[in-house]
Order: sequence, then C-alpha cells, then structure tokens
Amino acid sequence: MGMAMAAVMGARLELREVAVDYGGVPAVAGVTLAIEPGRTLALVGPSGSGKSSVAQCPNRLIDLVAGARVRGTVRVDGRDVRDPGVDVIELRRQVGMLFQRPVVFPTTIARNLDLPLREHRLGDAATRRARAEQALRAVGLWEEVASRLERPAAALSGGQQQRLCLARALLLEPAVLLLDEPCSSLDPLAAAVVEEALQQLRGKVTMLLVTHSLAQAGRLADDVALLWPTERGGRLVELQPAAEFLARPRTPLAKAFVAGAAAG
Amino acid sequence: MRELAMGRRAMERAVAAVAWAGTLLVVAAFGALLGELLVRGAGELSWRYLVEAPRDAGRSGGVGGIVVATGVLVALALAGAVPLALLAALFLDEAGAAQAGRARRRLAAALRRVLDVVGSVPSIVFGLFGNALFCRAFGWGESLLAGGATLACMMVPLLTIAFDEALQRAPAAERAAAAACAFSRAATLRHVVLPHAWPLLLAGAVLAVARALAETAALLFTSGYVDRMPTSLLDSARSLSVHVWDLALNVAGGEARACSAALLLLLLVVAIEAAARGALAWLRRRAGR
Repeated sequence: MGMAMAAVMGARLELREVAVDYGGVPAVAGVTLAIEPGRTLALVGPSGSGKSSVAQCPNRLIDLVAGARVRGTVRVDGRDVRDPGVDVIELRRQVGMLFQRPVVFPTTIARNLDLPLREHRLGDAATRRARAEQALRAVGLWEEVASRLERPAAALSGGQQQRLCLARALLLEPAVLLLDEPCSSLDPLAAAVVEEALQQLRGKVTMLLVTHSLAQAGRLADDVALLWPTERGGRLVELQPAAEFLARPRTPLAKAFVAGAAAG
Repeated sequence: MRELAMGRRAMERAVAAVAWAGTLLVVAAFGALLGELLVRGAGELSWRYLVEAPRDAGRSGGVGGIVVATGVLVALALAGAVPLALLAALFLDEAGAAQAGRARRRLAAALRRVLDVVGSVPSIVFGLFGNALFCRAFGWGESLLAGGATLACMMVPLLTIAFDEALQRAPAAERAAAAACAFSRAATLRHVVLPHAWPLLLAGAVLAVARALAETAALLFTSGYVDRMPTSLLDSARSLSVHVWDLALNVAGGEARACSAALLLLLLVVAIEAAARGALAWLRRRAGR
C-alpha cells in the first residue's frame, strides 16, 4: 500500500455475549466471536439479524442511535470499549468505519481528506497532502481525482465516493475497520473496484465485513459468521473459516442460507 | 366513469383558479403598496436625503442621523441576540442527541415551549419590559443601548427557533460519518452541521433584522424619538420606523416624507436580503458546493 499502514497488522477484536436492543426491542442476542489481528470476518445473515447493530458496537457508533442499549463486552486489543476510562475519539481513530452508502462531507475532495488529519493534528500542510495522496493511491483513486482535488466530493460517482470514504478512513491508520455492506449501494463495476481496494488491505488491518453477498464474503473474508433473526434478536448460529462455511455449512440454518444464496 | 373524470377535471380547474386568484390578490396588494410608496416617496430619495439632518420636524431635510441610529440599533440587537440564540440552539441540538440524558431532553422541550410563547409576545410588552429594565433599573435612560438591548430580547426567541431548525438540517448519516472519523462534537459542528445550516441561519438572521428594522412600539419606550445624529450609545435616537410613524401620524403634511422613509426602509430590507444571498453564494463556493 505504500502507506505507514502497511506496518500495522491490526488489533484483536472480541465480542463476548453482546446483546443490543432499541428501546427494549431486541436486535442482537448474546453474540460471541473474535477476530484475530489482520484477519477479516464476514458477518452474514438475513435482513433483521442484527449484523449492522453488531458492526456499530466496536467503535461505539451505536451510542448515536436513540434508545440503543448494548450489553456484554466488546474488546479492541484487550480493552473494553465501554470502559468509562475509554476516550471515544481515540477509540474511533483506532476503529474506522465504512458505511453502506458513501457519506462524503459537504466540501471538496481535498478537504474531505484533510479534515480528519487536521482535526487530529497529524502533520503540517505538506505532510497532510502527501498522506492524502498515499491514501487515494491505496484505494486506486489518485489517477481519477488528482486533477480535480478542489472540486466538490459530492460530484464524484458513487463508487468513487465510497473509495474516497475508504481513503478517509485509512488516513487515521485504524487497527480495525468496520465495513457495513460497503458495496451494496454500488453498481457491479464500482463494487468490484471497492472490493479490490479492500482486498489490498487484507492482512494489514483487522476487518469486520457486514455483507449480504456470500460470494463477496468468500472473496474477502478469512472467516464467516452467520447471524439469524429470532424473537430475542439476532443469534450467532455458525462461525467457520470462509471456505469451509461456503463448501460445508454445518447447521441446518447455514445450509439453508448457503443453498438459498446459491439458488438466488 | 366519464362523468367522474370530467367532474375531477372541473374540480382541478376550480382549485387552480382559486390558487391563481389568491396569488394575484397578494401580488396586487403588494404592488399597490409599492406603487403608493414610489409615487409619493421616490421623488425625495437622493444622496442628500440620506446624509442631511431632518428639518422642520422631518417635513424637509433628510434622515442622516436616523439612518445611523437605525444601523446602530440593529447592530446592537444582532450583537446581543445572535450569540445567545446560537448558544441556546446548540444546547437544544446537543440535548436532542441520543447520548443526552432524560433531564436534559426535558429541559430542552420546556425551553422550546417557552421560546414559542415568548416569540409571540406583542412587541409593546417588550417595550414596557425594556423600559423598566434597561431604561430605569440599569439607568441607561431612553437610549440606543436600551433600544438595542430590547430588540435583542425580542430577537432571541425568533433566532433561537430559526437556528435550532437550521442545526437540525445536517443529515444523520453525515453526523455518523463525522463520528466515525473520530471528529469531536465541535469538529462535527464546524465541518458537517454548519455547512448545512448556513442557509437557514442566514435566513433567520435576515428575518430578525427585518423585524428589528420594522419595530416601532418597543423603540418608542426604549430608544425614544430624538431625531438628532447620536454621538454616544446612551443618546436617545430615532429609528426609521419610528420616523415613519411620527411623520404619518404626528406631523401635519408629513405623509409624503413618511412614504420616502418607508421606501428607504423597504430598500434597506431588500439590500440586506441581497447581501445575505451573496454571502450564502460565497459560502457555498468556498465549501465547494
């Protein structure tokens, strides 16, 4: 990747008995899983199984959702993220996130990348420009935007915006990257380019990928976890290495899910 | 079936006709007002009218000191009201966040109700309040300072309501993206909330300025109606709206001059609105949107 990020191998992400409810309505029921540093885990499952809720726990973005309540333990590099002593800003520097729809800030392409660096006082203007260029190159966007960095970010295509968001997330050199269906709002070509950028990050950062696409899980993830919706919220029904999960699912629900995906 | 379709078309035509008639009525009313002001007042408007002092109770001369007093009153009111309203709107915005406690949310709801009520209090009540507090209790007498402070009190609820709405303009997704980029609340406000809020913030400020420019009752009790050029903030002075009121009702033969002053007031509001639009366009260009 060429960035300082190449040296980062990610952090261990661990969820123990994590349950989430929104104003008493359960969304996730007692999920336990761990992702070793540098590995990628794909969280799959039907709609309403609580995948996105789980993905919002490690960086405590779920705190922004009205009525959300989280129980259980989420640890990043061994530290409980809900410990009162945790600085949420520092936590979110360590745990980056990419959303389902690309969300660029209402400003230029250059400023979208400069703002996070400036807010965290990461280098002078020249250093920040160099880091922004590295991040854009890392996601394969530099050649496309180098001549129009001062143009509005909102004028980019959906796929370019999503790669810009990925570059923005990488600038802070996160140890963990949360990917909440990052390609689901993109056309197949744009999705392939974003996926290629994510492929380049494998082994260099710990990734939790929420996806509806088993094929994508197979391409990007080392492990696959299947969540299933129940009356008490989404439950983890199977966790296996990706190849095993796709070839030989063990539980009836996983078999049905894989068969359904294959048929669909 | 066919009769039903014809009936529906007739109803649509009737609704469109009523809408057009209503619009024309409003345009005609405003046109008549503007025409009256132009016919009776435009002849007096000149550079000299703007800089000269009024003579013969305003029947001749200009509105030099009155324009200055109006500008000072509005500037004082804005300087007092904008920071207070912005702080109150920020409090309301923060209280609306998911992390805010129940007590804070209740306080915010109560504050919104109070603002709605205070915002609809007649201006003459503010005048009496301003006279009692600023003129007498603070010892400022009838002065620009007392008038500006009273206008600020009138503006705060209106501005807070407008600013509160403006701050809620930022999409939740962008706030979440800012949080995911490890932005502090202050950084989120600067880089995400304010760029979306500027149009409504400016619109709110322009409305408040227009209301301050048009205010008469409250100023009669607080800044007085001396038509000399003010030399200090503690001088009594006359605003343009008070001048219009005085010429129209108290000065025999002052109607034409009242129309001139009213036309000038109208032009000032249009100029301020145009300046706000220009500022907004500049902000948008700067933000790259």
